[in-house]
Amino acid sequence: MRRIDIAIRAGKSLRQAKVRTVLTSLAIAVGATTICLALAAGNGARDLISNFVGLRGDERAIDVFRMIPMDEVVETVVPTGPQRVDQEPEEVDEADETAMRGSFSEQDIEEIRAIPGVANVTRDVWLATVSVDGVDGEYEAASSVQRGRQLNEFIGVENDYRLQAGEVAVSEWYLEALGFSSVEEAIGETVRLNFLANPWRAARPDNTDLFSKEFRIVAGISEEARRFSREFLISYEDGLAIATEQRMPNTSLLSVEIADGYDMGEVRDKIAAQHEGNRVQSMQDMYEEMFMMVNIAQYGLMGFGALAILASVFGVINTQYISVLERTRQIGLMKALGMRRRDVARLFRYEAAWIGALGGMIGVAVALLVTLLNPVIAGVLELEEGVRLLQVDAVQAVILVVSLAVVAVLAGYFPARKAAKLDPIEALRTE
Amino acid sequence: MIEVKKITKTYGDKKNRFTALSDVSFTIPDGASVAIVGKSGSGKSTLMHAMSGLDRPQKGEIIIDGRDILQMSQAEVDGFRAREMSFVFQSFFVQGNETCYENVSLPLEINNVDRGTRAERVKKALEAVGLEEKMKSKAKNLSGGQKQRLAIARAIVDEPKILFADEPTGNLDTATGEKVVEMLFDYSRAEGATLIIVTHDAELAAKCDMQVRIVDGKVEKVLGKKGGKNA
Ligand SMILES: Nc1ncnc2c1ncn2[C@@H]1O[C@H](COP(=O)(O)OP(=O)(O)OP(=O)(O)O)[C@@H](O)[C@H]1O
Ligand SMILES: [Mg+2]
Repeated sequence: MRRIDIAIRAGKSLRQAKVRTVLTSLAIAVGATTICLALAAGNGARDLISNFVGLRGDERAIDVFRMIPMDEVVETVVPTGPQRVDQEPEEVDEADETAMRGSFSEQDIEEIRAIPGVANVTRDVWLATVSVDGVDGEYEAASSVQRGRQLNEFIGVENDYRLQAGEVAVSEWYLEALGFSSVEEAIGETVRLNFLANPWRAARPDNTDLFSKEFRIVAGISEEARRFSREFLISYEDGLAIATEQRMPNTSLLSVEIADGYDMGEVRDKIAAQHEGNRVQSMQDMYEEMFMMVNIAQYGLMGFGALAILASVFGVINTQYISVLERTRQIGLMKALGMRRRDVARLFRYEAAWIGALGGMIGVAVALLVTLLNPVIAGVLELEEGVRLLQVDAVQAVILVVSLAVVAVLAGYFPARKAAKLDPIEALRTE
Repeated sequence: MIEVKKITKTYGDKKNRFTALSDVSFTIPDGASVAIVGKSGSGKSTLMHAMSGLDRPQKGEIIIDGRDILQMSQAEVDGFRAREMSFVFQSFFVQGNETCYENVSLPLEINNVDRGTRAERVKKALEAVGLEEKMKSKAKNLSGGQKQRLAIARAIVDEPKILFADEPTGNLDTATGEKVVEMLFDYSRAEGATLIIVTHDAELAAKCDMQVRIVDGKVEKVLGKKGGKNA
């Protein structure tokens, strides 16, 4: 007998026992919904992380940082005596061992640069920026320094554009304040940024000692990137110069670019091994860490779904046994007419497959309905508007439905075997 | 030609043995109509099951066109039955919740007949039994006589060489029974198919080319209609 004809007959006999079929499928659907939602939440969370990390930086970059043990921090920060507000703070002794451990010296940077596979090393430069000159006065503004090959969400230039000295990329958000109506219009114009001259006195209300620098606008920055205080992005060279002028301390963070063709992991291990205090983290590590957490949560949820499905398997077995008993005469007749044992077994296995697939489809449908709540979920979790935390993937859904059909077929194995082994004479005797 | 040779069928174990058929032998020529007659419990149905390969007696041979079907594998004998044989039962065994079309289509599906051909042949078979109007009706809505006619349509749709009927008129009134029997004979004559009818009815038995009388699992007598063809 052809498989298609068997499948059609299996479908028909299910339709004749609608209530039983639907109830059994619903039991499966409970587990299917759970698994589908777990997968959907995993997809959404991974998507969220990728977007976040993607905006933050380059995949071929490694962050190297040093942390000073907490008990030593106190030593560095506590001054030797009361400080006068109108005086510069005590110079931190360059030779001070603790301070050295907390930041990178030029020599440290040179050493890292010497490692094969390291293409570039940049410091993470922090600037104390106060404002920008707008069309109708000063606006508060933050600026940051381009480092490594971070992804910038640039408008008007390629995303991997490297800013040159004197150039600035401006957030779309500021265009109007600066008197421009579009990025195109702003490009080529100049903008003046004001920096604090004595940032360590930032807490004083009368700290208005500023110096200014002019920059030429070469690109816009999409509004999305403003999250990472990239309102004005300037070149690394300018950033270093301004930081020096502001006497900002060296930060304890470096960005290391890995040359193409080198294994991230290997280079990373070499950097970590070079100095006891070096802590390294690549974007990949960050991805992996966050993904792992998402995966653990997802698999946990899927485990519950699997348990529910395991429970529903007994429902399938039960339903199929009843189906075989109910149709003893029919089976007897089919065998008398020469239907092979193999085909009789198949008939019942396909029936089970239908039940499993139906359960899966109901589960996916319910999960899809739940995704309609995405805006609500985003609201409750205070995510950005438009973020979809539940994302049902078509391929995963199909795999789920097919797997459930397979599981149901396995559950229907013994009932199908019973049907195949039924003695037609006995079966036809039952009146 | 069907040769039944020394068939012995027993039920139960050593202590509790019951011999349903004992050393049964006879020969049926191709295209003949045969009545298997005997009292209730004499072993008629058991014999029919053995001849159709549904059952496997302990001893003997059933040789159909030179092959002993009792030596075939299960799959082979199933295939053989699907191609060459068909059945009509006393209690119809039509699928009430299926349409007449679906009922009749089953043997064709079992034999891998394609859809288009199936439609033609189902229609033809239903016409032969006068049920073409009921093609799309559920079988459970048919009367007893119609159900048996449906069973006949199902039995003849794949043009079997051997048609078994186990008390086909047992559940029908005389007039309806006669009609049904007529249909079986019509098919047998038209296709040259062997017709084997298990029956209590002496009148029906007399219509057959040949009668095999069973008493307590033994062949008491084989009667040939036209002067001892097989006697
Ligand atoms: N599975 C079985 N186990 C034990 N005995 C059986 C079994 N099947 C049939 N028999 C016995 O074999 C004998 C023949 O049965 P069979 O059904 O062939 O009778 P029959 O001639 O067809 O009777 P009827 O006219 O009532 O249908 C009966 O005595 C019956 O009880
Ligand atoms: Mg009988």
